[in-house]
Amino acid sequence: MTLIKLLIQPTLETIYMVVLSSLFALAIGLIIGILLYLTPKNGLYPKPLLYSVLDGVVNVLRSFPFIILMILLFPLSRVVVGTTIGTTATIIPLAIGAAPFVGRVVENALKEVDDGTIEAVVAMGATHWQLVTKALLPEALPSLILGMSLTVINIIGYSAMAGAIGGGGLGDLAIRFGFHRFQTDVMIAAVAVIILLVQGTQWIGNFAAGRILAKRSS
Amino acid sequence: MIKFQNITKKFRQANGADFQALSQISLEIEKGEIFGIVGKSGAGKSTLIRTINGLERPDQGEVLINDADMTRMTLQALRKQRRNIGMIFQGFNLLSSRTVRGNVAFPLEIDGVDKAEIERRVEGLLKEVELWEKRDSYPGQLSGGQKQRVAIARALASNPEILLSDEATSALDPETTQSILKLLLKLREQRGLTIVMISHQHDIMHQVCDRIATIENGEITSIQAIKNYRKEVSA
Repeated sequence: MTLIKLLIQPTLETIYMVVLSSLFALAIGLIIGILLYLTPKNGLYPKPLLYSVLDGVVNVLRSFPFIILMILLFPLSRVVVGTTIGTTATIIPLAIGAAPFVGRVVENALKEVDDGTIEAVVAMGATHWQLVTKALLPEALPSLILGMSLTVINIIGYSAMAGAIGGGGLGDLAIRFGFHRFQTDVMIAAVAVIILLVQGTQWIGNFAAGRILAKRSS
Repeated sequence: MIKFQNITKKFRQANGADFQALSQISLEIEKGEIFGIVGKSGAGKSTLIRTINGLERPDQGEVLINDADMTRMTLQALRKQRRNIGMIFQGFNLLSSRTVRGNVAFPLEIDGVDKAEIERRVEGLLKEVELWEKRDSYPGQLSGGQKQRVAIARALASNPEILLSDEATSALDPETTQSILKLLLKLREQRGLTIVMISHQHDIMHQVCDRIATIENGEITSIQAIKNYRKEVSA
């Protein structure tokens, strides 16, 4: 019983961190991904300079080990949230760390959309905005959902790492009890909850994408 | 109606050499005509038909539609013109994320037509192509012929004067091909559509076209008028 009591608060903290940072990462990543898709030299809206900059920034950010990125982003957390400790402060580095990944996920999902379909929509006189919002994103929705569940799973992993540097949540619990106090049972319980969260996320993603694909084809 | 004047287009190939897709093409297509362009793959017919709705911009020359030059207008103006030109494709190119009804509504939605009006027009169009009972199906649930009918309804949604057909029957079996051709002929009669079609299927082109241009290596080598076609249809 005490073990369960011990788990409740950190689990809620982890969910809070993961949900909010996923939403922010999705918002930023969607914009990045759409631009990465549209702006290459042979893209639908060629802006080669913008593309090169964006592509470079995404690669650089993705090369950072997450824990280093987090330390580097502490000043930003201090400006936005007022502190660098705790779950809320962790949301900012989590979101920024995951956004470039989401950008690539979105870019790749859009690249899968059939060229002929795009040509047909352009031939109808659609604007770029209409093409993106009414054709590309809906067509790519199943891939976007699967990519997003991958992102959320990454963020769950990152959020556990953030626990090591004062981020709170299940990672923090596992490290404090398992590593500092040698209470292996608490550590195992915390890891078990993380596994459940990851499994649950993957299941929801697969289910939602599968439902949409089934509706569209059978 | 559609006037090509000295259309020239080159493509830069992967090896750096230029490929002459179209050279000095001049041609006039009349209102209400079904005009066919035949030629081998790579001959330039696909590029030529795409200059009509600005999907390809020629390096030189003009494409005039009702005296408006498609090659020299702003993107905004081009988009407006495109709503006057429907297009159908070999691969149908329907949106898999939308139902039959949603696909036909698409051009009207992007044109800002109000909901009630869209409903009304979509119903009319789907009845015209005899697919009203499939309105809530997704393209993935339809046969090739049904998909092409949806694509035709979609292409006609914004009441265009011109319909472009890019190998529209090449992926269909002979029987379905006949029903699609019949539909195109009916639409021309009823709506006064001007239809430009490209195909490598000579027999089919002879069946429906008023005139057929043959294109080889980016040049038109002959234009042939097909006689007695209207008699055959009404018989």
